[in-house]
Amino acid sequence: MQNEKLKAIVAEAAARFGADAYEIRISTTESAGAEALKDEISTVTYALSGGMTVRCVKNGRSGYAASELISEEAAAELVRQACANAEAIDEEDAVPLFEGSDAYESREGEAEALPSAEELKAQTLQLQKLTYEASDRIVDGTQCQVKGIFVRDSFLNSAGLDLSYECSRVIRVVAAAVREGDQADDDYSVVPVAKETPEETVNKTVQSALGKLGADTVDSGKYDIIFDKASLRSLLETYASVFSARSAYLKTTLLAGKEGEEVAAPCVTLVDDPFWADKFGHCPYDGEGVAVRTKKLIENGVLKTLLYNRMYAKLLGRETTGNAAGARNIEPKGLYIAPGAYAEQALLEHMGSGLYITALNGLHAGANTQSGDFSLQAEGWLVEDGKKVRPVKNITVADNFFRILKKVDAIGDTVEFDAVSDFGAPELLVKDVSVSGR
Amino acid sequence: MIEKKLMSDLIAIVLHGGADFAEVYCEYSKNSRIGYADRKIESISDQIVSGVGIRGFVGTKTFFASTTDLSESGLRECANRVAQAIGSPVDRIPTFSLVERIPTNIHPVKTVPQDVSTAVRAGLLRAGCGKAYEADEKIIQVSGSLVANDHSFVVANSEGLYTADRQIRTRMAVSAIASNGAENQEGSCSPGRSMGLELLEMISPESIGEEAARQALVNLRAVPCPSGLMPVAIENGFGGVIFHEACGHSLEATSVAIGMSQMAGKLGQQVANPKVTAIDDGTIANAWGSCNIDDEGEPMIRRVLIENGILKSYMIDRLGARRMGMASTASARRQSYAFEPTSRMTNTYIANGPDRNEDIIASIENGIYCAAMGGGSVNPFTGAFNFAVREGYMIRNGKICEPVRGASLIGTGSEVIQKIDMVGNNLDTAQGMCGSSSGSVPTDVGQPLLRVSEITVGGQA
Repeated sequence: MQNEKLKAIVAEAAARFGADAYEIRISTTESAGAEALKDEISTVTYALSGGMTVRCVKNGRSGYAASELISEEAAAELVRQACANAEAIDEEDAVPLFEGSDAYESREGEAEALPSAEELKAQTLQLQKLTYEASDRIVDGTQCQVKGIFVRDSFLNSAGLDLSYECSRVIRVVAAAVREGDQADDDYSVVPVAKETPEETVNKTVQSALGKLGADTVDSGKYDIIFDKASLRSLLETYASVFSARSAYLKTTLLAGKEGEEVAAPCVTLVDDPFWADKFGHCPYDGEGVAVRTKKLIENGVLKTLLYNRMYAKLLGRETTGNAAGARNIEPKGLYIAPGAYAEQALLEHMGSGLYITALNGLHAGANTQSGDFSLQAEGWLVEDGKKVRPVKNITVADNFFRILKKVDAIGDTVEFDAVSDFGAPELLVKDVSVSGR
Repeated sequence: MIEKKLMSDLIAIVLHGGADFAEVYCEYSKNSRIGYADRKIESISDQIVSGVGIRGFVGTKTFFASTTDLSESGLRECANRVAQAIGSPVDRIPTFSLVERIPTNIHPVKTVPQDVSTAVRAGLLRAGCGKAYEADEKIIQVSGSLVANDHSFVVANSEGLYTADRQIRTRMAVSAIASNGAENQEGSCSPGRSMGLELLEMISPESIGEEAARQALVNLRAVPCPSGLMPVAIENGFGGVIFHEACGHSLEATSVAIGMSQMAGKLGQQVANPKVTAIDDGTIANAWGSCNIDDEGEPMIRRVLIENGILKSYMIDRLGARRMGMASTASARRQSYAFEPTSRMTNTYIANGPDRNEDIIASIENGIYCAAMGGGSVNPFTGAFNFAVREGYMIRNGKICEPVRGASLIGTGSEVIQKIDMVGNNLDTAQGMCGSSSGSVPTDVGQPLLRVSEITVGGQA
């Protein structure tokens, strides 16, 4: 159904159910992929998903309703439901619906048609073949995948906003399982196909999996630690909510009221850049229709700003930073720690002895955003005299996120973003972290 | 929902594409969520999840497409995508006719939540969250939610199966933050069942708020947990996450059938301590992980996975059954139509054992008592698992002492289930959401109090 027609239906229903204002967001994701097992394609998938969310404002309060069914009937029913929900809410809206930013930065050519099933199958089989050829220690259970994602988004409201955006990306997944004697391990990579050749992805993944064979624990104690890009990215994503103005307003982040104060080591600068070139998607507007922009959250260790939407900006006497995820929630749009001066080897030599961490697991449960405490299962390498000497597993790394920020000693020189999320990181050296092993 | 005749046509399209088995799954779900924070009902949202997932098998290969376009042309296009992806069209297909099977409803619902006014439901949430504020002035923030899912689906396949189920689940969650000015600590409580609003007659909203506040206050006075190898006593309820992560996932056909599990090829072998009997039972009336049928339409059953330490059964879906040459155990589950189903757990627990609970605590000279656990994760191939301690205490000389915080437990599944060497008798279950390749599904975990003779405890001290 066309947006114009939908808008007319919602406008009519909004008038009928007594809404003073309304907002519609229509988002659809189309994806197609192929996956291989042993030497053949095991699965081919195609999915069309998404739907529409309607927000209705009634007597100064907002209610929401969403549906994956996009039809005239569904649209009118969503308005009725959203109006009913608005009537049961305690809290009044802090701000009216947004009328629009002066300008929106646009990116052309971000969306390309999804590859056909035949193309996906051929690319996946080639990837699987390369993976098996990369080592004689590769075993069955190794699975490669090529997947395309196409996202379309439209945002319109009764205050006159009418925005849309689309983007796509094809990603390559290599999950390599290796075995030697009674030792077995695995590793995986998810990368945009445009970033590197299939051979590069396969080689780095297989080498990483092989490198884990023979891993053992270490003695419990305090260690200097380098978080690699992926492990630091996962930590940053887990703790992103501590930079949210909503958390500050609710007093559920220890950064509340700390703007202008030193919260990290002087070498730390934390940036939110919605237009970082390598990341997936550069939507020019946020969840309220505000133009997104780049800003430094921490500059040389000092907390410059939290992330705001319009509601919490109003309640806390600030301006929005264009980080709304809907009217109430807040999210980063491209969060990364700015790079430092150290190439990987220089960072290892700077540390001397310690651990090089390549994975942190259990972040959804073992990391507490209230206290900042975390205790996480980890794996990586034991480092002696600036060299990775043997693989390490069955350890936990435990510290506190806020304390880690202050203990940063040195930062790697290259930032890498995740293939599909809005988080990036360089490597990071932190002194004196608790490690539990034997 | 779509017409039976159209479902039959869609199956035929997939068979014509060259599939030897075809299935159509049609879903219509109404989910509602009321959110509370900062002493206010701050959000109310309703969501309709509706779409169709169509699947074809060729031997052990699967071809899957899903769509939210429920027009006849949209559905035919979806089925054609599956047929084209298979790419071996045939003129003649086996005849089949869809015969309806009505499953017995073993999870009766008294009050469908969405039939009760939003104001009444909001009042229940307000009562639960408000109680947490009353517990102590150190409770500075309380948030909560009341979620109700009314999930209906019809599944039909080329073997003539045509069956439907309606699953209603209700869950209230309260999270309380306690602060002493310098530090914040959290406590939470989130019971749920496959039932309606009568859940909150069985478990009062106030008791949920009180429990969240109590836990937050305990954590506020807790000291950092020590690190190293030590014995632990893990309490009942969510403690059962140890079996779920350390062993349960490794028994799912999802990993077993492709050799990516430590438990592959071990049926009949002693894989756990003889005191361990573990069960996955999707038939427990009104339990959080229960269903009348699985997502492939098979009537739900109870599976004894491990009996006195011996591996008795895996959890197997239809594709896993083909890959493993074994029968399905009605273990197919999916978050929604948009996910291809795979083998999953339902309500998984370690049964009561021979030990007295007081003897378990008394047996530990220096270790940790884990009164409440958080979630975890596992790599089934290596068996490496982790889970977080949400409320813990030191045990010294057989006595429970001061609370400790910030700990996780890690290990290798095959080793840890051999080290469960004392099993108590106060079996209880708790609710979680389990994530895997077929999405997030509700599961119960459970166990009585038990002892792990030695495990790596990761703390900051």
